[in-house]
Amino acid sequence: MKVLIPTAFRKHTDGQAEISFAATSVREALDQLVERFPELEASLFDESRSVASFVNVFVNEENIRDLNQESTALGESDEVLLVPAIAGG
Amino acid sequence: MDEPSPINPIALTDEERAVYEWQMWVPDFGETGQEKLKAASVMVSRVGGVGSVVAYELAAAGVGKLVLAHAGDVKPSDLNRQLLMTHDWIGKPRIESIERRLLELNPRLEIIAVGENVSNANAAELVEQCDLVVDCAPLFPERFAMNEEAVRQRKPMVECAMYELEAHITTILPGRSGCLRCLFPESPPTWKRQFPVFGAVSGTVACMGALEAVKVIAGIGQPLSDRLLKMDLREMRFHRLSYSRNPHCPTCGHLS
Repeated sequence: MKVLIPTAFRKHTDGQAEISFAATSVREALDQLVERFPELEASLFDESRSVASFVNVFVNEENIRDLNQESTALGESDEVLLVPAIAGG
Repeated sequence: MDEPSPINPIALTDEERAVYEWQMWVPDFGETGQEKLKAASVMVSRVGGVGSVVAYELAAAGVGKLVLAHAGDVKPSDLNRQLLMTHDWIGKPRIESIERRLLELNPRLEIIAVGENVSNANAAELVEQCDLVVDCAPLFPERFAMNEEAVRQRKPMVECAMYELEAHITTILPGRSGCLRCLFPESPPTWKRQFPVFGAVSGTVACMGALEAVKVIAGIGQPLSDRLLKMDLREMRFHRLSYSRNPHCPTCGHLS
């Protein structure tokens, strides 16, 4: 499984745009990601450690809000995209 | 498209036929599509890095009327991307430079030029004057004000945004597709008005935004509704991401 890091978050991932590791659910993937890059937490999670409302998470281009939220299962070949709101105009 | 454009075409002059001849060769667009553009009014919220190019492309394409909102005076730091601002206009109102440059390209264009940015106080009046909105503002309160008013008046809105070498675009058809607040219920607290930008990035998403506007007005092709096109231009990686209407959305959840 791999996570694609958006440009706005790369300052928290040492500039890495793509990170591959093993995880069986979105929740597990996000927890592992934040454990590895703790500065991501404030950009990714709200106070209750749920995905913040200004971030969308997609698995293979489907929004997890339309799947099984953070419990959405992941397989080895899945691609997880983190998409925070941006407003540059 | 599922539904025909509600815009009533206006007949072209011989001069307009000559100017728009090459785009009228697009088979499902033709002269009727051009007549719809002539009859249409598009609002562009902030005419900066993204909005300048949206407005310029729509002026070139022959949209009949543009409603343009942008405050402040031209600064040197505008000139890397805000293509309707010029060096000779530094220190003078941006909206004057915008209007002047657009009319140089298309003197037939009707322009409602407003030298202020969108807010909850002026959004209703601005949206009332248009058939479609292209939202290009650099601050979330302005974007949400536009979204709420576009939904309330059931006007389509093309949402274009960028950051550094990344860009997003989606097309909102109120009552039929998700709105900005369905996609992002809240804005990120850390967003700042100043952001890293090349003009070629803001211009890329702007050209796509202008084309979405043309498609919706003319009723051709498939608009990018319920889809967010995410472009990572550093890696040239494009994703067409799906999202749905939120039935509990405070902005559009009540629409049938």
